[in-house]
Amino acid sequence: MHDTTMTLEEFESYLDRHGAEPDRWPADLAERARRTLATSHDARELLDEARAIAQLLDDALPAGTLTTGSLRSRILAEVSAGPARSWSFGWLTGGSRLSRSVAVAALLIPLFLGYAIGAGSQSGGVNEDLASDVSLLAFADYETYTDAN
Amino acid sequence: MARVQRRDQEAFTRLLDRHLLGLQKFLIRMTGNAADADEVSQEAFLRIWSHAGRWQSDRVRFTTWLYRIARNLAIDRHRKNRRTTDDDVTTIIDESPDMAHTIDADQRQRMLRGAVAQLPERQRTALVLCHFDGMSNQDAAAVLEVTVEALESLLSRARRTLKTTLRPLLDQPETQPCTTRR
Repeated sequence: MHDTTMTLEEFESYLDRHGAEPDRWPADLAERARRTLATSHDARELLDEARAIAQLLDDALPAGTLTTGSLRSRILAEVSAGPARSWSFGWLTGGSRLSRSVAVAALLIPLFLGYAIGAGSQSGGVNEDLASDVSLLAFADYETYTDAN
Repeated sequence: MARVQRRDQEAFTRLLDRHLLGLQKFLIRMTGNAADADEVSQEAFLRIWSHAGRWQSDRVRFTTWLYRIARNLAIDRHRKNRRTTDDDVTTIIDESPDMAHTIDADQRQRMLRGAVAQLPERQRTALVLCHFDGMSNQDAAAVLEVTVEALESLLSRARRTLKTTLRPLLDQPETQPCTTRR
């Protein structure tokens, strides 16, 4: 008789693992659950409570009024666009960490080189004449003022 | 799916029509809002299209593969939005059923959704797949890439937590939201 029913603890454990509809449990457990429910008031109370909680969850997250029309259209449009997607920035934001690092490096290295070349050309002697002209212009008014006085 | 792997858009459309609504329902329960569910659904199907060649029919069922991709995308999105979500959860916790004699339908809905949202991600996924989507424990275990025993342990912990959290609501009369008379 013992193995044709289950203890209250066992019944509650199966309720938690398989849900509040014993008819949908694995066949051997479903049969033992039926026998247990037929003889145990406490088991029936546990089942009622589990069903009430399940109903609360169904009410809380119905998701029954969803429509997929516009979403479906967007997905199919993206798929039809095909290769255009591969020109987007997905190569930068998606992929593995390694591929993202390579992509970031590919962007930063030209920027760094551009900055280095620009800074180097300013510190060289190429623009020294221009720099002295600018200095003269800056003091021009001052010299005029001091000459006059 | 074999035709999708050969870049057949008509076959992809049929696949989309068969699975989009179910995936959207799963994701709205996972993410808690329709906008995120739509974004993740779209990204999941575009990944299916762009990575169709990676699917191996002898290793995993298509539905399992689709839900795994969607779950991983939802987790990534949740991590990005974590700060906002934590703020939302704090608000939900403050609205304990013990704090008021009666609660209206909106509060009740928020508390119920909050109770599910506060479950650890793997417990929530297990619950959504098995309770709401009607997936078998075996199939849900495959999506989560765990054994059936581990899946049942996740389900058990989720249901026990919800039982404790939601029990007060079972005895709580539901009232309609107050309306202003003019």
